[in-house]
Parts: sequence; structure tokens; C-alpha cells
Amino acid sequence: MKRGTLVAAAWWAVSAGLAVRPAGAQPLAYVSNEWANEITVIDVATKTAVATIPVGKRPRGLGLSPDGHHLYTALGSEDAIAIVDTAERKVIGKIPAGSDPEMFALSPDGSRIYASNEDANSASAIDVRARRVIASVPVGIEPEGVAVSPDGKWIYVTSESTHTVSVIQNRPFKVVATLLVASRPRETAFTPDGSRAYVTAEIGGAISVIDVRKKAVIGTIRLEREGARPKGVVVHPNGKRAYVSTGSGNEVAVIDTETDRVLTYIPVGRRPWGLALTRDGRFLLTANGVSEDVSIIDTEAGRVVATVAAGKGAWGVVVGP
Amino acid sequence: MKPRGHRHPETQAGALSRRRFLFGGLSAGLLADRPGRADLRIALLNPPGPLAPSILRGAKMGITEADSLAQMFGKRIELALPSVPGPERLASVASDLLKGGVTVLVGGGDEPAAEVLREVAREGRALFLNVGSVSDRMRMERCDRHTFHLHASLQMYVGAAGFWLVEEKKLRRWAVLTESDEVRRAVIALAEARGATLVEDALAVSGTSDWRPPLERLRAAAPEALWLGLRAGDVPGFLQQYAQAGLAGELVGLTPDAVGLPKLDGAALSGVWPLMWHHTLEKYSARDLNSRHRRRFAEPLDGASWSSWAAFKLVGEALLRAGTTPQAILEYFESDPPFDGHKGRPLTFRKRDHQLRQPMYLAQASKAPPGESDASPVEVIAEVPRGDLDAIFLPPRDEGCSI
Repeated sequence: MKRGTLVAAAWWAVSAGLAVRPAGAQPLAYVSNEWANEITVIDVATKTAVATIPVGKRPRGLGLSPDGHHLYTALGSEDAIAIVDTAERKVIGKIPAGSDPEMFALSPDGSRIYASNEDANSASAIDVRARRVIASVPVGIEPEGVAVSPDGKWIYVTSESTHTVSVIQNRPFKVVATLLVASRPRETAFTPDGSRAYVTAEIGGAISVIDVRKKAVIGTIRLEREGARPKGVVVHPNGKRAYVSTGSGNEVAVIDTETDRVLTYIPVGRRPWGLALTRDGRFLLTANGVSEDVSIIDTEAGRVVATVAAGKGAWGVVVGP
Repeated sequence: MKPRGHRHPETQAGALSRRRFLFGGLSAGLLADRPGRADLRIALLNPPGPLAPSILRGAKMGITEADSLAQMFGKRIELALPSVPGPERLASVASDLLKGGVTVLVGGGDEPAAEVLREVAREGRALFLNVGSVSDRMRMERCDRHTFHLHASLQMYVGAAGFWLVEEKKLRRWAVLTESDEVRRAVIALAEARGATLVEDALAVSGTSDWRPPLERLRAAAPEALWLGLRAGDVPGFLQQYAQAGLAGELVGLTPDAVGLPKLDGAALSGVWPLMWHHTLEKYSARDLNSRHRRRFAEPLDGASWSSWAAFKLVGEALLRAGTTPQAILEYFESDPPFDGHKGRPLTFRKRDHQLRQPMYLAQASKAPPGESDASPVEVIAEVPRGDLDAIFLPPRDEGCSI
């Protein structure tokens, strides 16, 4: 396997909340419960909740270290990102993360966290080992979603109020382009080959398609669905499908990345926001904030095969080893 | 890096320190001497009035954010803040601004000012964005294609409360107490549209201290709900006597803005008050918007501030997505772009009258202990409507506007 392919594979594992899974272990999913101040741990194989982990006040954004040993979650009411030991299932430290942190992304090697700072209208690079901010750049107003490209070179930060995506170069850490996308952009997902990025726009009811190399918006996919408010987005490991949670639409939109058209909508729980895929892409999980549960979708069958109770205000989800 | 939120708040009397406000107070003529410096010039015409301070704060925040966005794409928006000592000078100042290259006029703190600006914009083929007048006449028989209304109409205030009375409270026997013909017409029209019965239509005499005559009529009519369209100064006395009279009807108070809410504590304030924004809203990033405003001005964001902020934000987006000419911006607004006003839903202009569709909020006396209500006598109890935003409008009438 070429080095580039290895890097891409490692990136996908990290961005999809995966890591190297020890032999014999079951994949576990971690769900942040915004108003319960805890993480629900779900065994994806048995489709049952197996533990809860108290983490601190208002956990939302999630990330996993490449080795799966550490789970990170943004604590909005503590101005910190909590570090959870996934084996011990307890918080082992907290990283200062500015006012009201919501979303962040890990670099492919897990050494850095890239976070948006909503009150300061900036994005920061945090050294995980040193637990401190090492660089910061101004972005648009109300920065929100953060995503890292498969090769780790680009960090995309959405800004909700200015409807922009700031394209940040990793080293040196600086904004190299700003793209105008549909109204109130929330999250971004890259295709596994890194050629495209899909950006959800909640008020625009659309997904902006970005050509990563050209740093340009090349298309807009509108969700012609009453009440659809696109929020979470993930791309299947085979690169052929993108999945978008529609918030108050209570569905997941399935997009053909070849044609950039919506193929179908899958009904899930109420107000799905966070999304995560299992490593093989077989199962898609949605964190449903109002119904306080997780829908598990069989991506081949295109339907929900299980619903697992989570906590109050289920917000984000990642899938581990 | 110093976070933006750490700057000292700007008070109402504070200096306009940012460069983009250097034109504040300059005449339109001086602005005309600086051609080619901005991609878009927009003017706030804000004569003295109850809403003027709120409108100014919203404009300052809006232009900062709109220009910040424009600069990301190598463009600039410039705000002109001419001095408008009174309504009699408004038309000439506005006309001079258009001659000087301004293409969008923002203002309309009351109906007369809004009428003047609508007319100037129409004649000059510019745009007027109304951020203060609730006048239904402006949206109906006096509508114009070059005028867009960011501020909610009286019909929307009445419609929001009426929706709540009928759909939530199931109250259909209404009375109205007001000296305003426009309020009376709106309530009567809504009663007809919603299947309610108006059992008493009492005329209020502004400045009175004795409310016994209308209260006796209300007692006899026994409405389930009373619409109150009084001047702010008359409200405290009426509420006190209404409570003493022991009448049971649900009170619905109408005020053009939170600015007009009677200055009463929770114990003395009764009834439900429809508002278009409130500084305690949190959902849909309302908290972020409220927080930005409070950090900058040390004042709560109210409805007029919201309208004004929204006007500049919309124009800033139009500049990038459509162009700089009035016609391009007009056509953009008419193309149903989903505007994000931090109200959780895409907001669009109605084609028939250019009124921005938006959810309204119902507030009542705050139940928080004194000192914990964030300087607000009220708290929001409902967002109306939850579904179709057209549900708070009246059915179109023959004499209505059709742009």
C-alpha cells in the first residue's frame, strides 16, 4: 500500500471516529448527551447501550484518537475539551478550549485538535500532548464545524452567520481561501480521496459541494423536503454515498456522490444531528436529540434496524474500534 | 489574539470609533465627494424617536458584520449616517444621498418616516428597507416594489397573538380597547378570519386616569380575551384598575416593540405581549446574536435592533450573491433567498407585499425573582407559529397590495 493510501486510510478512520480495533473486540459507539452531561457507550454489534460516562457540562462535539484509547468531547459550559480514557471509561484530563467550544477535529496522526472558537470568531490548533493552543486564525462569524482533509493539509471551518467556509492551510496555520456557501453552514465531510467536500447548510436546506483542489464551490444539492435542516454529514468509505442528517426533518438524506443527487430519505428518530459510520460502512448511526436515542441504519438495506436509547439531548456520535 | 468580545461595550453616547462610521454626521454632499470607494453604499436615516437608539445599535452591528463578510471577498460596504434632526428634512436628505451614490435606504422608525423613505426610494429607483414601522397601510394600499419590510407588521403582532388565543387557548370571545383605528381594524379582521366574535369594541381615551367606564362595559360583555392597544404611558394605570376590577379575560397587550413595553415589574405586569425578538431567546444561535449585541453595546437586543441588524445582513449577502445595483438586490430579495435571522427557519419576503415572514414570540410577566430576570419584565413563553409562517397573516383582501 502506498504511503498516501495509508495516510488516507488513517484519516478516514479518525474522521469517522474509528481506530485500530483490537482483535476480538466489538465496535463501540460514543454518543454525547448535551443536557445529561454524559457519554452513552453503545455496542454496535449487539445494538445495546453498555455504559454511560459522566464527562462534564454540555458535551457536544466528539473525536477519537487514532489508537482509540482516547475520546475527546467539547464541554460547552466548561470552556474545555475533555479527554476520556476509553478503556477506563473516565475523564483523565481537560484541555482549555476557549469560550463555549462546540466542534473540533483531530489531525490524522492525532497530535493536534483543530477547534472553532465561536465567541472569538477564530479557529485554533491545539497541541494535544502539550494541551495548549499553538496557533489561531480569524475566520467568519460564529465558526462551527471543523473538518480535516484526508491528507491532513487542509482544515475547513464553517461559519454560520457569514455562510462561509474558511480553508485553512495546516502548516503554516493560515487561511488561504474563503468560500461562500449556502445559508448557515454547519458541518463538512471530505470524500476518502480528498477531492471533494460536502458542506451542510441548515437554513439554506442544502449541501454545498466543494472542489478541494480548486478551492471552489462547484454545486449545490437542495433537499426538497419540508422541514429539512441539514446538519451532520459523513461519506461512505467507498466514496459513493454521502449521508446527511436533516434535523427537524427527522430523516437522513442519501446522496449519490457521482451525480450529487439525493437518492432517498431514511426516516430516523427525532432531530438527528450527529452521524457516524462503522469502519466497513455497513452501519450508519444517528444521534437523535429530541427522541434521545440513536438510530442504527443498515446502509445496504437503507433502513433503520435498531434504535438504542441514549441520554437527554443526544448530539454527536463517533464509532470506535 | 485578542478576542473581539473583550472590547469595551459601545454606549449610546459612545464615539463611533470604527473607520466605517467616519461618515456619520456628514452631509450627503460630502459622501458624494468620495466616489468609487465602496462597492455598495447604504444609508441609515434615523430621525429622533422611541426606536431610534435601537435601530442605530442594530445598524452598527449589522454594518460591521456585513462589511466583514464583504471584505472576505475583496468588497466593501459603506454606511452613511446623515444627521436627520427631524422628519421635515428627511426627504431632502434621502434624495441627496441617492444622488451621492447611495443605493439602499434603511430606516422608518415610525409610519411618517417610512412613508417618506418609501416615496424617495420609489422615485429614485433605489431600495428602502423598513426597520421600524408596523403600519399595515404601508404593506397594503401604500405598498411599493422598492420597499421591503424587515420589521413585523401590526397584522403579524395581532396574528401571532390571535393564533395563540384560538389554537392554544381556545378563546374566541374577544374585546378590544384602543384609540388606534389600525389596531381596531386588525383585530376585527383577525376575528373574522379566525372565527372569533368581537363582543366589545371600546374606545380608549389616552391620558385618562379613570378606566371605570370601559371596564364596566367589559364586565358586561365578559370577553374571554381583551386586546389592549394603549399608549405605553396609559398601560400601568389600566392594568392596575383591570386587576382591581377582578375581570377574568385574558389580556393581550400590543406594543410595536419590546422598547414600548410598560416599565413594570413582574408583579404589576399582566397579559401576553407579542414581540418579534427578545434578548432572552437562546435557540437557533439566538443566544450568540444576543451575546454579540450585549458585549458591544451593554444593552439587550430588541426587535427594532434585530430588524436593523437583519437589513444590513441581508444587503451584505445580496452584494455577494447578486450584485450591487438596486435592481439586482431587489430581484435577489424577490427570489426567495433563505435568510438566516437566527430564528431557526429560512425567512423569505412575501411576494405580494415584501413583508419578511418570520416567527413571532409571545411574552408574559417574568416569573423569575426580581434581579434575576436580566433586566426584563417579561419572558418568552411561545414561538408563533410553529408551522407555516403564513399562518399569522390575514387572508389577502381586495384592497391589499399586489406587487
